[in-house]
Amino acid sequence: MLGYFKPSASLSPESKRQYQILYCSLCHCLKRVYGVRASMLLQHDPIFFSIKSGFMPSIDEEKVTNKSCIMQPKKVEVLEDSKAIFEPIADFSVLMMLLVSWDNDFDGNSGVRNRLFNLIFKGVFRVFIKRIEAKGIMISKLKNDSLMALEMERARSSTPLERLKGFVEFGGKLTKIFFDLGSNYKRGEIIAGEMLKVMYLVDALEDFHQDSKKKRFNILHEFASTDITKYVEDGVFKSLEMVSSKGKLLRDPCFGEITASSIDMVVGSLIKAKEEYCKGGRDA
Amino acid sequence: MPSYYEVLGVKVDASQEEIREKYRVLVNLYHPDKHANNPLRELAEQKMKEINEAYEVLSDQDSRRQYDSGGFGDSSQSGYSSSVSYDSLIAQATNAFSQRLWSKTVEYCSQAISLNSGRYEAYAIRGMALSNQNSHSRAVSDFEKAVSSGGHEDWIYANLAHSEAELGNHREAIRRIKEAMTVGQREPNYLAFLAVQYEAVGDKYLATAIWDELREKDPNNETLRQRDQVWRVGGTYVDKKDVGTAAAACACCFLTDLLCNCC
Repeated sequence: MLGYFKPSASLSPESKRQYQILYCSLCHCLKRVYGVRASMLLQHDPIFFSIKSGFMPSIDEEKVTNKSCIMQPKKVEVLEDSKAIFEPIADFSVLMMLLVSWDNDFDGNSGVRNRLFNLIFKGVFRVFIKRIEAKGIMISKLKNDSLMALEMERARSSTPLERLKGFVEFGGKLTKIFFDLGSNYKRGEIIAGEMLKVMYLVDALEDFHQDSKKKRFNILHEFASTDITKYVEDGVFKSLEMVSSKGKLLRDPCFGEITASSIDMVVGSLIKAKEEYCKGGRDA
Repeated sequence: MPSYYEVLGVKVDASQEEIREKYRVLVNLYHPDKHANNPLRELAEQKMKEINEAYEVLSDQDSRRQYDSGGFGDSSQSGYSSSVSYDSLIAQATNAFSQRLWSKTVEYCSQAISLNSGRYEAYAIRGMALSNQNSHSRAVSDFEKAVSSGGHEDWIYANLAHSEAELGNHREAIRRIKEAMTVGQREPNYLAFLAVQYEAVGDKYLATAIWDELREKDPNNETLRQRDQVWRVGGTYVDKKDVGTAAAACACCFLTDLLCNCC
């Protein structure tokens, strides 16, 4: 259960139920397409993206059915006949993890955790490569684009957000490949890019001291600004504003509540990251 | 205008028991409690009024006789002979919509349109169900048919505007939401939508004016709050500039919120 853009537990019962339907449908889709291990790659962020970009239609209760949960011995509600919706989200979720794997390779990270990660998900990644090559997308091209974005991230630049330009562009390109948003493709590109910025900045702030202790790369390390927290805060708020204002104006009250709550949770994550950063500074 | 028999979906020779039974079914389908948070609330209220009016006349022998003598009792005149009427299909479609059964809603509306393609309700409700399924082109076509069939109501124009916006036709969306506000009121949600559309076409000046109007009318509007950079932390609204300081105290609430609710 990964991701920053996830709703809080204080959602209204109906919105919570609807979110669980989406979440469990994605989990079942990952299992059906990629095998049971892929369910471990379940993430909140692609669900948020699909709602806010307008890709996710409102839930049709007629298609809701009970199925056994993959992780626990219980029944869960999932959407039937929704391959066209959940398969792109499942593919995208797997790709995000493949990017993590490429990132680790780029850094020459051959630790036990990384090797174990690659070993567990080797089969999943193999299926993914087969699937996207069948759609005419070359995995080598994707990897190349991702490595170029990583190189841009590592190159010296004036600001951390400058470093992320490559990833933002790459993220926009990926959404165009995986999600058929019709005339709203630009909206999808913007939301994906802004979500990426938020995730990178919050993560970098939270891991700032740990990364420097373990000599790991962090986009904020070489930043000359004395007030890193303010820089991150401004960046995150600007991106959240973009997500709010450029995203779909949701009429479905449950979807509206889910996305508003997810944005609030990101603000919460930012506060937590700031505390982590300040605590690390004091400890040092 | 549909006859009272058509409104209740009964035959002209229906017994009092049949009328009473059908009335109960319809009241159940259109009950305001079922449509409280539903875009079809206005239609349901209007239908409920028609149903009550029809029942009041047909449930009383004298007034029914008087009504029938006015020619409405003649099934050939009213064009009604089947037990399934347009209005009862609309009632089922409205009910299906409130239960979020989009495919079923489309099915009922299509049946209603095949019975009577000159009325607007079926097109409008089908348009809303299609829009919820992300079929915005078909939704626009249905809303336009609803308007041309006499559906000059703000909720129809507003839905048409939303679907146009989803298709990227922001100028058309502006025209339609303005029509909604001409027919109805300058409701806060319509204003927020209009402001967003002005921003989409790059007209910042008009967008600002509409945001200001909304700020005056409904300062708690959710879209406006997000626009004004007011974020909710731990269940409380916090101004953006205070998030870093005052809201830090809310981190505990935030942490308890983190307890995962997912499968």
